[in-house]
Amino acid sequence: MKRNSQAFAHQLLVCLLVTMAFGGTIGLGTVWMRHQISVTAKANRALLAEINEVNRRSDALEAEIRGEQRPELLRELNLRFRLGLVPMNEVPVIHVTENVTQRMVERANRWSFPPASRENGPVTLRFAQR
Amino acid sequence: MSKGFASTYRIVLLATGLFVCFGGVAARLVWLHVVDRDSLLKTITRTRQQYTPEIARRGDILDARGGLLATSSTQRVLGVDPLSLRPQDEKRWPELAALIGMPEGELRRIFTTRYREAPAPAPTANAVIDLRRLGRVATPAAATPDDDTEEDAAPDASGRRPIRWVKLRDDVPEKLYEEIMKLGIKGVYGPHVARRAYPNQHLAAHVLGYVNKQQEAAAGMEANMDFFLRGQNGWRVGERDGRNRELPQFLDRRVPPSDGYSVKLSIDTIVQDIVEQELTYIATTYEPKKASIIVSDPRNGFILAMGNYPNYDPNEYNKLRPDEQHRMRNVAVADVYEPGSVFKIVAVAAALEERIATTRSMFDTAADKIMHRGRTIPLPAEDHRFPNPQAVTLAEAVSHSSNRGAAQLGVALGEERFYRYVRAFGFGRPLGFPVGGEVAGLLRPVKDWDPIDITRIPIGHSISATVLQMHQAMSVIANDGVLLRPQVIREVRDAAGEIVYRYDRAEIGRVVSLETARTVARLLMGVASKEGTAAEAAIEGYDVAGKTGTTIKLMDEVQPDGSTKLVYNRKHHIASFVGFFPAGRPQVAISVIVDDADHKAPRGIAYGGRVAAPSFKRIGERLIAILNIQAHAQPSPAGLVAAHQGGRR
Repeated sequence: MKRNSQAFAHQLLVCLLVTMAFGGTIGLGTVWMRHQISVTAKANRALLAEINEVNRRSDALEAEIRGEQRPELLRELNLRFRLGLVPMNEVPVIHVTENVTQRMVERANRWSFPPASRENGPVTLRFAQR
Repeated sequence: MSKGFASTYRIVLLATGLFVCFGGVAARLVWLHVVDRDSLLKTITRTRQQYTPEIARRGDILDARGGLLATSSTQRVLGVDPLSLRPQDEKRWPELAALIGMPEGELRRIFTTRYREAPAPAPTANAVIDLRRLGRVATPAAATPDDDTEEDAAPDASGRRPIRWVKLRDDVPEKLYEEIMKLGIKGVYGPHVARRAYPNQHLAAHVLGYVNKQQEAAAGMEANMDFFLRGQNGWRVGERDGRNRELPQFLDRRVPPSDGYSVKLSIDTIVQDIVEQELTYIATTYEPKKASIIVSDPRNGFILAMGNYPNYDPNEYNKLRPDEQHRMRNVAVADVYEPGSVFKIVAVAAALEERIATTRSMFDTAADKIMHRGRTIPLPAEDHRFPNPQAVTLAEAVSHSSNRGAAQLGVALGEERFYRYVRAFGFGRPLGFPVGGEVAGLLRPVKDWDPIDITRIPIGHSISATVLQMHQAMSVIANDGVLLRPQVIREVRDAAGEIVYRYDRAEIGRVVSLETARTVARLLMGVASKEGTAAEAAIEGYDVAGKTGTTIKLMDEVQPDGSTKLVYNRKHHIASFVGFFPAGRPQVAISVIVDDADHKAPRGIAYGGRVAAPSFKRIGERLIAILNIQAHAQPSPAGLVAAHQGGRR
């Protein structure tokens, strides 16, 4: 069989061109991929920095809020704005020493028989007969 | 096959050329990546590698209700590079000066000083300046401003050193920094620095301690729990470009930071606030040298509030002058005092426990001497006039704080036995309180006692204790005879909020039996009764048990030869009241100690019953609603409460 050296050369050239094209594609692909990796990494880093920044601001804000809620300042503001608010720790405690039942009955009857009605003298009831 | 467009020779030549080129490239790559790899890597590593630390967030300190007591925050250290300033920005300088609160003249001086004529600093100084610039090194109080605020570049040809950074202010909040940035003055900027913030300012400052500007925990809970709070810093190794910018795509290795744990205390902000309000009242009314108040739950030993006067703001710890440094001292645990009559509870409890005395025992308080181990020992003076001094019951002796009664109990117990009880009540040794530099107090071993000591120690003289020790000793009575370790840490939580460690009631040991403790508690109710020495401590509707103390202070006195000697000074007293309520089912123990309030006290003597007992009452009344303290239903046994007027010890 006659060997066609030109054909071989052509094949070699085509192979080389294909290899170059393939290599170039791989190279470009790699460059593009590395660029994308870089872009993504930068975006991630920016995001991380942003998260840290938000956390930092959140911490600073929380500290500020807590500072503004400290009891001493609230008392001062209460006085300055004349709000007349009573601190929750000054809830009046009433110690009941007398008979508790009697006391509750009297308190309930205050609605039915207010002191003003007692000043007008005894209540008289009249019944009409048919 | 068809004939190609070129001759075989040319094609072979081209192919060979291409192979040679590829071969050359391949050989070069092998050279670079294999043969010359090490030296090239060294150069790259040296020039491009970057190590970046990632700072862990320090954990919070929370109060018993979950409120923030200490937290981490960031601020900016604002500075200026005078060489970067632009002339067109000069009109905004006054605005900047106003924003940072600096006199305009001072700001102009800094902005226009661009070179330093002084000789170059030592090479190591630059590193320190760098750290200080970032606020990581505390500013020495005596240092000149220039020492820690300026950074110089290398000297120029004329020998002058250009100033590249001057600190303007080191505590610029983020919000203010944003406003400053809006001015757009080129060359004015500042890096972030982590700062510890104490939102409640001076509240519980002595318990919390503080973290200095180097981010080192310097005192208090911050130092004690630093291991948990500080977390673990992370780091990353990557590469940087020619402009020193990080190249995140070349991140080689990263260890993420692990944030610090949070520590939850038993301190209740509301109770602490009540205590500090009372301390402010005491300070305003009596102008004492110092004062301490402790509030705890005697059933578990957890401290609900611990306050001292004078106090300080941990946010501004560095602004205290050297003569004000004592304000940072937690005097409730770091200072000692002679407890005085409050200490009589030890002798009474020991005598009852050893069955040397009963509630019906009688004392001869008219006797001024006593025989002990073949010696005649003088008894201390009696401050109260009993109607029948030859026959004073134990209840009367306690409620009127009889010195001679307590001294006789001490003698009856004997040195060894009494010493054992004193130790068992927690005196002469630290109780293991985690913060404040707790001291052991002074309790000499029996072999070092003078013969008279057995009559003086039972009345609280010749012995020194901390306020906390006396408080815990009283808590023994409230806690049915068991001494508990005073604690202030409730929980440790990780960054996700999960509990890592929980602290629980810790017993040191049983001191007296339950019956003895309850008997002493009933006896102490007589003190806060209408007839006792502290009627002012009585809280309506509640049985209060407690003991007053009025101790004459030991002070330096100049002798005729010019030397100084410690002597008891009758013009200076320490007034105290230590008690708990409700006596039958104690829910809260309160100690109030006021040091040297005589000059403002009624009749010039600061009695415990007049100065400290009212504070106990005011605090107790406010705590009823806060801690939901229920009055104990059982009435006080009438026979145990003495019925005499007067008496102030």
